[in-house]
Formats: sequence, structure tokens, C-alpha cells
Amino acid sequence: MNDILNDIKTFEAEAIARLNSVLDKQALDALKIELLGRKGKLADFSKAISKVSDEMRPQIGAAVNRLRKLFEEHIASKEQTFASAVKKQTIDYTLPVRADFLGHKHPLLQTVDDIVDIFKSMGFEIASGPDVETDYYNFDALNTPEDHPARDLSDTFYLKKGVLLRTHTSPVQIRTMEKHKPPVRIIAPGRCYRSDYPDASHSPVFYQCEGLYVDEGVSMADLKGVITAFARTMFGKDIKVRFRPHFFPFTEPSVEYDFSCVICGGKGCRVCKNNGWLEISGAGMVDPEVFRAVGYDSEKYTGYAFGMGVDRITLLRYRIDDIRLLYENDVRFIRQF
Amino acid sequence: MKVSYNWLRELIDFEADHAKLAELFTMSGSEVEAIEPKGQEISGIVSARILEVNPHPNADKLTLCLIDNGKEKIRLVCGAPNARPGINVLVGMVDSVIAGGRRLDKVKIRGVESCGMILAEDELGISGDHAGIIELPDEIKPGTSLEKIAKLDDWIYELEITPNRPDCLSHYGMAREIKALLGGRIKYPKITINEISSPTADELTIEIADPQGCPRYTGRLVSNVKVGPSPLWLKSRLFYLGMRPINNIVDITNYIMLETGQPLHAFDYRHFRTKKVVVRKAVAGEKFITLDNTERSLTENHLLITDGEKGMALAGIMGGQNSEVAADTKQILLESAYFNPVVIRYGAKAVGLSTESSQRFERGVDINMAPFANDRACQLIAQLADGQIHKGIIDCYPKKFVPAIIEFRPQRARSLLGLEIPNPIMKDILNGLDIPYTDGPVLKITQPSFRPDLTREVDLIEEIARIHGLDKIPESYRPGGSLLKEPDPSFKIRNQVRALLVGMGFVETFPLTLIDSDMLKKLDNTIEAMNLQNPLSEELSGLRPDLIITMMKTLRHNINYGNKDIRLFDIGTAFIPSSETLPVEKELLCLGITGKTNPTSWRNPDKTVDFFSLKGILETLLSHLNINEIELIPQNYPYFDTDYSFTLSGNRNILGRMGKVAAAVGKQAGLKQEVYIAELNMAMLTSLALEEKHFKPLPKFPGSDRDIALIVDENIQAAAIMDSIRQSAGILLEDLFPFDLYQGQNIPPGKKSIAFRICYRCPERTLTDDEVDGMTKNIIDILAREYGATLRT
Ligand SMILES: [Zn+2]
Repeated sequence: MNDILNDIKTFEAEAIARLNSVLDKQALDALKIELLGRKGKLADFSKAISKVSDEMRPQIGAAVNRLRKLFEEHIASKEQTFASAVKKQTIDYTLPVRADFLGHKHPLLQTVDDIVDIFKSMGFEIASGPDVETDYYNFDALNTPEDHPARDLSDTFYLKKGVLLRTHTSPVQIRTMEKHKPPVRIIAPGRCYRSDYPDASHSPVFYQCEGLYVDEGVSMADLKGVITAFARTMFGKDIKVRFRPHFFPFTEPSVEYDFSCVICGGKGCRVCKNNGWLEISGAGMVDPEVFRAVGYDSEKYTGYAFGMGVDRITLLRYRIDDIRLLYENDVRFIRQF
Repeated sequence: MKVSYNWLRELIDFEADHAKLAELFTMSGSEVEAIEPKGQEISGIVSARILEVNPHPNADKLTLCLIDNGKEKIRLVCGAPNARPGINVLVGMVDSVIAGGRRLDKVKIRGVESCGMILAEDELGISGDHAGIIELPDEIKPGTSLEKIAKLDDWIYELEITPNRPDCLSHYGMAREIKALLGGRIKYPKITINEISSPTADELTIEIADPQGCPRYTGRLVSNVKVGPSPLWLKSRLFYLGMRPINNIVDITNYIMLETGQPLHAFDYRHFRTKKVVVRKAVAGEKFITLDNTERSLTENHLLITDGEKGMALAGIMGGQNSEVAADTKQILLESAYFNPVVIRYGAKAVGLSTESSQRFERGVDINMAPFANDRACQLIAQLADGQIHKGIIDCYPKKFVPAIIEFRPQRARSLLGLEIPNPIMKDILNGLDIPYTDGPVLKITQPSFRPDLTREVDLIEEIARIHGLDKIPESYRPGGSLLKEPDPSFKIRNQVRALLVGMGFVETFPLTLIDSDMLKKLDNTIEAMNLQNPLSEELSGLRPDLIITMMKTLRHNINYGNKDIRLFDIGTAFIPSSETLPVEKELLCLGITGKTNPTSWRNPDKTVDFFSLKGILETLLSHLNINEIELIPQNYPYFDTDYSFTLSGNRNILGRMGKVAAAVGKQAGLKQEVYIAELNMAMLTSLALEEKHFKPLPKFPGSDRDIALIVDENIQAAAIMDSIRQSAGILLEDLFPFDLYQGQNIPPGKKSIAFRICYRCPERTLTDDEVDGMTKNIIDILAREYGATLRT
């Protein structure tokens, strides 16, 4: 059925091109009959409507009507031009000007803006914390055991004993809860660091967004709601969200959440490795141990937390295939967004 | 971890094909990362007996074998050294398919036709071994199809098991997951052991010197074992699951580990001179040679299995070379123990080893599995290696497992999950997972020994959620406004600055905050960066102490790639070392410009940016932010050319610095063009920009402008002249700016011509020409007096 819509599109382009190049009244009249006449092309499309399915009919009808109006406007304007004796133009108005440089926001930060906007509209407040953290905020308070591999020198950058570059934005959870009594609802975007050699999918510096909501009666269903609302606002209303059980020291239950593939719509493609789902990040219900670290009563309050890889979302939405491009800052790259 | 679909089918009946089961695993927390089909292409392989082996007429290394495949006798060319009359082998005839999908054809090998081949293990995909052909047991009749000898077709899952789930590192564990998900019963193998009369205790005593490190150790002795290759089914199963078949004894220990999750170790017991096992901590510096023939230097945190004199195994990690099972081993000691996860994790890391065994002990094996696994392995050793099992197991269990007793409130589970799940379903799930409980309004749950991760109510809630299915949790939407009462204003101003700069043709950059600390020293030795203890490379060895260093890198990249006319900005963190635990993190704004002032065009002047381009940009930007009275204070910054190096202030507050990158610095930084950079403090911009704005009424009366062109000494600054004009004109002065600057023809050397427009306005009335001319005359007189200014005529 899309064939007809495609035909209409092709026809539109051709017709407008011809209208633009018409030089005199006579040619214009002929073209008018060809386009709008009872035996014209538009009439053919109108006839074809009866043959298409019920659901397509309004779409095609609307397309034909739009074209009719468009042609009429073009023809009217041409007629007016031919009617008035046009004075020869004294300026070459075809000269391109290129007056000023084009500024652009960085695609990663545009994505951060969009994420933050979406969560702000759902009542989240922006919070932040330092890039350089103590192991208390990055690990201990987040219930990460003393001998957890994430603490290794091979995973985490250290500046000195107990001082490191945060490996996730989760320390902001702790800093916020230390300062504020519940309820708390924050989104915390920021740079994070992990000892990964740069390649097409890894960068030693990357960008995360952390979400946290603590209140009485917050449930996993609320978490699912907020992630789903985000996914649909960011990527479109047809996006589906899937939770898979996982493990993180600072949430229980923990999940990884996936979005239905934004490239293929879930049918399967190279980007989603043919399974229709894209792994986005981790989430879960705040572990009682984390509440204990910040002095919240875990019987009274519950909460959810989620992470979000902003780099990954940026790569996906713009179909970028190499994360290093985000940090190289070539203006030819940034100006594309 | 790798898991075999067929093996799971042997353990439990369930209705799910390999793809469905994979999905169930993934959706219940054991993510299937890959599914590998195995042996499914193989067809038409049968057993045969070699009747004769004759030399090949044209090749020394080849033979002609006459075989009986049950149907006919045929001659095949073979290159295996172990081909000999009387042995049973596997053959593929014409049109049989071997591993990798190769269909066999009639071939001529060195002039002799061969209608098939005698197969080696690699040709069936059950090992990488091509040293010789497979030898089958004598009792297999020629013509038996391969499917009857060993079931080779399978699906192998590669599972990502999260670190909290050691129970999933075995086929029993994954069968239990299936039971919880789909119901059914696990068919654990029946263990029957025929023990000989000689008691184990007569020849073995076990002593645990470090019960903290080794809470349980079981041992059994098996005598008169015949060490040899494992049967095909066992070899293929190990090979499919990523383990190299070695000999029947070692293979059995590995097989039982994959089955039960309990790592086992078999020692050649003749090397235990003292006939005892002592489990103790290693002595710092103690040397031990592991069976990979590597000498390891141990610490006091390692746990060592000894015979009371010398080390025999690095507990839980790797056996010793001195007690390895060999072809002539007769008596083995079979160890099945529980080692402290922390001790093993530390120990494995300290010697840089990670083995199938250490990976399981590190996460925590089932302490109650130790004796069962030992018995199960002995049973197989008796079956497959003719071993004679001594009477009794020695079970040294000094530190008993104490299960957590957990109160589980079904209502709490419902409210935390936001899911209306009835109690009976929760109980079904607990039963399916073999988690025992006593019923009541609050369930009293006893932690199973195979689940070290289940110690709290919330852990059990997770079990309910993942087995019931996270897809059943509904989506709920909680409306709500902001909950924090002190929103951070910096986000608003930052976004305002970004929007302004983008409008002014600037491209936003987002560089790595990691820099080359050595390079920094070369560019500016007055500042110190914080260095990483474990950098990936020189290039990324420190944290940037300012944004200029990264801006220069970004400019260099762009100029080198031909992007020569650019305006860049970066808003981000600089890290300033401090005596506190954490450095000071300052948010700065950095602007960098280079190249042409405008895009090249017929309409634009062909001009290159200069110092005033940057100053102009700053004036516009700052004025938008309600920051005026921009002043430059000369100050030397090592990055900048001393003639163009300034501290910038606005509204009498220091905002930052600006300048032209010094030639030497630019060269060192690889900049092939002149660049101008400014760096401003975002906190200061924010606080100034946030000042309240108040309305001023629009003027009701017209103003009057007068232009004056002055000739003054070239070193008299515009600001001084303007100050004098302001003072003289007083409140009637509305605006004042220079509109022309000239030196050259008609102007005496050492002088400059500078022209100002003076805009007067009175809010209450229209000024008369006489008044305006009078004030202007007055100004000219003052300027003549103060600066020797003359009017340019
Ligand atoms: Zn896809």
C-alpha cells in the first residue's frame, strides 16, 4: 500500500519541478490541465483510493487533497507573476551569503538535555556530585564488598589510597540522601571513569545519568512506569521496555532494562544482535544496606534507583558507530547534530 | 559458564526447546549470551573393526586398513599411528557428514582410492585432538551407529551468571532453576558405592589447621585405578563445555564439578608419605610448583593442602605438580572440600590464576555438597577406571554452616514489587527453588546452604520477582512535582550560556578530562595536575587543572583535520589539587577561536580573528548575562603571549582570564595557527547573572549625539579618555563609545586619531543644541588639558 504513497511523493516532486520551470502562460495552462484536470494524474490517484484498504484510505485521501491545494497555490502564484509585467531584477538574489558560522551543541550534551527535560517533567530534580570521589561514596556506602573486583586497579582509576574517579553516578544517591530527608526524587547526570582502553565501544571517560526516588510505598511497578515513560518520550510511543533480573550490590531486587530495538523496531538487526532488544542499563529497588548507610528507615521508606548510559543512548539515537567520535570533538562531526 | 541442554534434559523433564529455555534463563537472571549448536551436522558415522593394516604403496606414513563396518569389508587409507588390527574405530563412509559439515567423498590419496575415513576426535568435534584415530571399547559391535555410542548433538549455552549466584555454576543448579520456572522433579543420580573392606581411616587422617579458611574437607581413597582415556561421551561433554579432556580420573573430577558445582581434586596418593592431609596457611615466601609447572611464591593468606611436610595443592585453586595423577597412578585421594570464598579470591588473585575451581570457590560453593560429590565421583571412578573404593569417607567439618532464618512477609513482597501476587504462588516459587519454610502469616524461611545470597527478606522478594517474571510487574505512574526545595541555579545559567554561544557560532565540545601531565608541565610549569596512580597511558595520566589544556588539544585536532576557522567552547570541570581528601572541582567556561572571523564568502571581509575578536565576543556574551563594566587587567599567564595576557573582570568581580596563546606554547601544543582563548569561572558568572533585573522606563525625550575625533599620544588608553568624558558629562551622558581608530597618513608619528560618539539625554526635557554644544566644548577642553588632545580637522 505504501507504493501508492511513494508514487504520490515522486509525482509531487516531479510536478513541482515542472511548475517551477514553466516560462509562459501557455505552458502553464497546459500543465494545469495535466495536473488538475478530470483526466489528470491527481484524478487517477483519487480513483485508486477505492482500491486500497480501509485503514489506508484516509491517508491517501489526505495526501491527494494536500497535493491539489499545493498545485493550486503554485499555479495561482505563477499566474500572478505572468499577469504583472515583471521588472527585471537588479540584484542577483541567487547568491548564497554564508554570513555567520553555525554554532552547534554537542550531541552527547543534547542527549543529556533531552534526558534531563524528560525527567524534570516527571518531577525529578537535577543533582550532582564530584568526579573525584572517596571509596566510601563510590563503593562502601553502596554496599559494595571490600574485595569486590570493581574496586581493582584494573577497573578503577585511583588518585591515592581511598580516592578515585567515580565509576558511576551512584555516589550522588548517597550524597543527596545524606543531605535531604525523604522524599527525594533526583536525576544526576555526569562524567564517570573506568579503566577501559578506548575503542569503538569503550571510553575511559563516559557519561551516565542516575535516577533515584525514595518515598513511602515506592515500588518496582513505579520504576517500570518511569523507565517506560522515559523510553517512549525519548524514542517514540512504540518502544517497549523489558526488565531482566540482574545483580548489583546497591539494589535488591536488581534488574537490567532493555528497550525494544530503536533501529529495527524489534524485528532484529545487526545493532541488537538480531534479538530485537537493546540493553540500556541497570536499575532496581534501593538495597536496605544503602538506606542504612544514609540513616533512612528501610521499613518505612522504599525507593528505586536506575542508571542510564548516555553515550549509548546518543550512539543509538544518531546511529553513531564509534564512541570515540563523541570525545574527539571534530567540528565536522558535532555540526551534524 | 557453559551449560549443555541435553545434560539438563537428563536431569529434569521439561517442555521447552533450546530457544525457549534460553529465553526463560535470560528472563530469570541467567543471561544466555550465546547458543552454540554442537554435533548436529554429523551423520552416517558407524563403528567398525580394523581387520588388517597394510603399508600404503606410495607413502611411508600412510597405511591401507581393511575394515569391517558391519555391512561390508572395505579398504580405507589412514594416517594414524595407532591404526592396528583388532581395534574398534569409528568410520565415515561416502556421504557421511563429519564435524564442520564436511560431506565425505570418494578420494584418491597418493594414488589409492579411499571410500571413507577412520575418524579422529577432531573430526567429530569432540576435541582438538588429531594425533590418532578414536579407539572404541571392544564390546561395541561393528556397524553400531554413532548415536548409540555417544549422543553428540547438543546445544551449548554460554551463560552470564551474576556473582551472587554460585548455585547456578552447575547443571544441578540450572536444573533447579528449570524446576522453579516450569515445575517437575530433578532426577539426581542414584549413588551406590561398593566399598572394599579396607577402611579409609587406616590410611588417611585429615587435619584442618585453619578452620576459618577451610570449614569442611572430605576425603576418600580409591585404589587400583586404571588411568586411561575417558569414554567418548565423557570426553565430548567436557569438550563441549570448554574443558580439555585429560584422563579418566581428572575428567571425572571435572565432570562432577560441572554436574554438582563442587570442585574436586584427585591426588596421586603415593606422594603423601605421611598418609595424612594437613590444611594450613602458607608461610610468607613459601614456594610451591603448581601443576602447570610454574613456581608460585605464596603469602600467609594462601591456603595450602599438605601432607604435613610439603605442599600438595594450592587449596581451591590448582593442584601441585608433585602429586599429579599420572599414567601409572594406582591410588588416589579424592578431595571434596569447602574453602572460604575470600581466601580463594585473594589467593587466586595474588598468584594471577583463575581456574574453574577457584571461580566456584570464590563465589561460594554448597558446603553440604562436599560428601555427596565425593561419593558421586568415586562411583564413576569405580565404573570407568576400575577403582576400588576404601570403606568410609573422612568428613572433617569443624565449622558448621549456620543458615539464616528469615521472616518473610508476603504483603511486603507485594508492596515492594507493586504486584498483586497471591501467597500460594509465592510458596510454589519457594518450593521450586528448594527453599524450606514453615507456613504462617509470616513465613519462616531457612536459608539453603547452596544459596549464600539469601540472607534477608528482600533477597527472597527478588527470588519471587524473578521466577514469577518481571514482565508481570505492571507499570505504575506516580505523579509528582519537585521534591527538593533548593534547585541548583547553575543548570539554568549554564544552559543560557550554551544557547548564547551556539547562537554566536560556537561549537560545543566535550573533551576527555584526562590529560597528558607531562605535556602540561611543558606548557605551564606553574600548575600541578592530579595524577592517576594507574593511568592507561601517558596521554591520559592526569586530571585537567584548567580547561585551556584540553581546549588546545581540541583546537589542534581540528586544525590538523582542516577545520581551520572555528569557534569552540567547553563548559566543564577543572580539578585543583587541595590539602583536603578531595580536590576542588571548579566549573569553568573555556572559549577558543582561530582562523577567519567569518565564513569565507563574497560578502564577508577576509579577516583573521585577533585579540579584539575575542574581547568582542566576551562583551556580547557577558552583557547578555547582565554583566557589564568589562575590564582587562594585564597579568602574565604562562599559556599566553605577554602582550596579550589578561585577567578579566566584570561588574568589579574577577571572571577569569583571556589571551593569545604564546608562540612557544602553541608550538609545543602542536597548534599550527594563532589561537585566542578565554577561561571564565562559571560559579562567578552564575552568581552575577542571577542578580535581579529591574525595569528602567523608556526615555520620553529625544537625545542628542555629538562626534569628536581626537589626536592624542598613541599610548593614552581609551578607558582613561572615556573616564574623563563620563565625569565631565555627568548624568546627562547616556552612551559613549569609540567609533573610529586611525594611525598613519596625516597623523603625526607617535600619535593616534580616536573618535568618540557622545550620546546625551535628559529624562525630564529635551536638551537644547546650546547645552549640548557647551558640554561637548567643555569635554574637549578637559581632554586637551589632561591628555594634550587636539581635535582632528
Ligand atoms: Zn535491531
